[in-house]
Amino acid sequence: MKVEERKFVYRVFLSFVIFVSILLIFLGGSSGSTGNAILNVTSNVSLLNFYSISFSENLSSGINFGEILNLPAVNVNATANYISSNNGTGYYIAVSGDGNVNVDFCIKASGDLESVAGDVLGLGNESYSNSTYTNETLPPPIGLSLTTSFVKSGENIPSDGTGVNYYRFWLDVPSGQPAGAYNNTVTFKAVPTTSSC
Amino acid sequence: MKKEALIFLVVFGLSFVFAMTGYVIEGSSPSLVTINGLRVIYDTFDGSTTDFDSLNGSQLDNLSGMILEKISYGKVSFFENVNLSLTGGIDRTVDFDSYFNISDNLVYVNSGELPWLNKTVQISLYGISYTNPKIIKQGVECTDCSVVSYSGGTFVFNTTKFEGPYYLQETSTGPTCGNGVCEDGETSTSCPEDCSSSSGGGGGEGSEEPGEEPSPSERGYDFYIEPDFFTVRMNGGEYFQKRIKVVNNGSKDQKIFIGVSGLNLFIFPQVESFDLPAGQNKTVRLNIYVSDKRDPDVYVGKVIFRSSEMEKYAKVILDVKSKSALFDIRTNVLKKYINPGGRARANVSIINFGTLRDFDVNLEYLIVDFDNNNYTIKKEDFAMNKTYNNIFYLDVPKDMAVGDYLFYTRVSYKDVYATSYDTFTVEKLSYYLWIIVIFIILLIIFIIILRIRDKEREEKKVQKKIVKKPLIRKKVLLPRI
Repeated sequence: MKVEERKFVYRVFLSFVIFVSILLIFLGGSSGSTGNAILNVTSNVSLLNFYSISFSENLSSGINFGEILNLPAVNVNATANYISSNNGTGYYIAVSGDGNVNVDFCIKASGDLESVAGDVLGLGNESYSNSTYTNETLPPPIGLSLTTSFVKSGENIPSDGTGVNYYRFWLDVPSGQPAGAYNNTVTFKAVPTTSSC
Repeated sequence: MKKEALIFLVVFGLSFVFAMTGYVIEGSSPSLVTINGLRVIYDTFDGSTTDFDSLNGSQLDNLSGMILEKISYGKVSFFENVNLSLTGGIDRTVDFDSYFNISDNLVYVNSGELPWLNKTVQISLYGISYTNPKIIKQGVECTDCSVVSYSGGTFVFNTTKFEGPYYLQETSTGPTCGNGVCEDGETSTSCPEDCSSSSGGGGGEGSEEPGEEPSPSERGYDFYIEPDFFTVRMNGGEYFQKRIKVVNNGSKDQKIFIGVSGLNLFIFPQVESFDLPAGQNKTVRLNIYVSDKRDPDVYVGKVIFRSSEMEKYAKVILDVKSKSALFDIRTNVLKKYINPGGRARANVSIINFGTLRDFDVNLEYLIVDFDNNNYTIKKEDFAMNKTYNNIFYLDVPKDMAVGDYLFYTRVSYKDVYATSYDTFTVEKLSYYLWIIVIFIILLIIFIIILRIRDKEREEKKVQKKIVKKPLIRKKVLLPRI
């Protein structure tokens, strides 16, 4: 093989590797997935904290309060608040065991619960509580109202495979609330422990 | 070569840093609730009103001792249990603010919007000053009401079937001659003022005696009312309040009696009479109630205000509509002012809301006055499709009195019908007015003739000048030649 041919093959190979690397950068940035493996590479870049979380099936499918017929309604339980064998909650977020840092959880809501007709149920009526264990009394039945900015809702949850943050949700509906289907979105965020939301 | 390898390593390493580690982890979950609870709206009520907000659904479904009160006006206490879920209906809303009216000497529930409240109740009306009040329910003296007490301005009574409106009236000690209403005990002999066929006056004018006597207004008796004409459009079971201002613009105090002609089953004045000092005014409330049992139609009549010296009246058109009409008919009189002997033309539009097509309907149209006299009745049959539109006319009798009239139309198919109206005025140009008009026309013709003559004269003058000028030129030019 001539020198020029070798140079050509080398350049093609190098271009392919650069293309794949750039593709990986973009795929990694857009998916937001977390690493569950470490690849030691020789590089000048130092690796940061890594961890991952996963939503329970009930939490993924939505926090549903069902149909409320009697008003006013106080502390209406979300349908999966007491669902497991020990009357624990079905709403939880598990921290993956292959992370390298404990995490704190943050929670916020998109805003008031609104119906298609434009009626509003104030966000102050939607409350939650959290704990790292669940049974009939945990998370405790005294909740905090959701807000539109992130607040801590679980701290120092380990990344050793045992870390789970459990939630319960309640809703108050005042009398005079117009009939309709109301909804909003609750967002959860995990941050390295002691980091701000 | 080394440089390229370094770039490769950096890029490759960075790709793993960004792709395989996470600093921020987020996830969202929708929050859903379907609210179908009973909504009770009662913000305008106070006092001992039931605290509906503190009751759950099952309590509202079988509510005992329900009370609605406005401390300034009155209270309704239910003796029987009430199921507010039934009252709330499909939209699960019980709107007491809009459909349960407790006001000055009045309790009214709109049974169409708040059904299932026809229970035994106790009604208390506050601030009552009548000496011997009688209870009026749905426009007539209540037969299922029983008085409980009357003291300190609070009148309390029970009714076995709550369906308003309820209000109180002073019980008359006997017929009042001169109030415009021919009451029991009055005859054309004992009280010709109320019972003679010619009574009633017209057009809001004073009933002045002919002769040398000065008119009532010259003697200081005068008053007027505002408005002197109004229309009300209502459905069966609805209640409405209309206020009429009576102004004494004379120099003498007057006692005004109120009567209703033609609409006695619908309009109930707040008071039967009142004193009106000179220079003062009083606003009188008319309670207008259309029972569910009344047929949809156009009803006309007058509310008469009569003093010892004169009377004025407000003309009223009450258009009672059907909630589930098969037809919608509209009448539009084309010319609003018509001479006696003339012709009233109206454009009549009919819309068929049903699914039936090409069926024969009957249209009846006639002229009606505010004393419910009918003139020139016509009937026509025609095939009805989805819509119908045509112009119909009625001849106005030559001897018809000047005034306001209705062009009344009624379309019917079997026992289903709809009615409509429009108003027009019969007016007559007076003899003197005709002379003035003819004089003005003659004057205009005379002026036009004069101007034409002037123009002709001016033209003749100009022509003469033109003829003279060439002669002068010739005279000047001739010496040169």
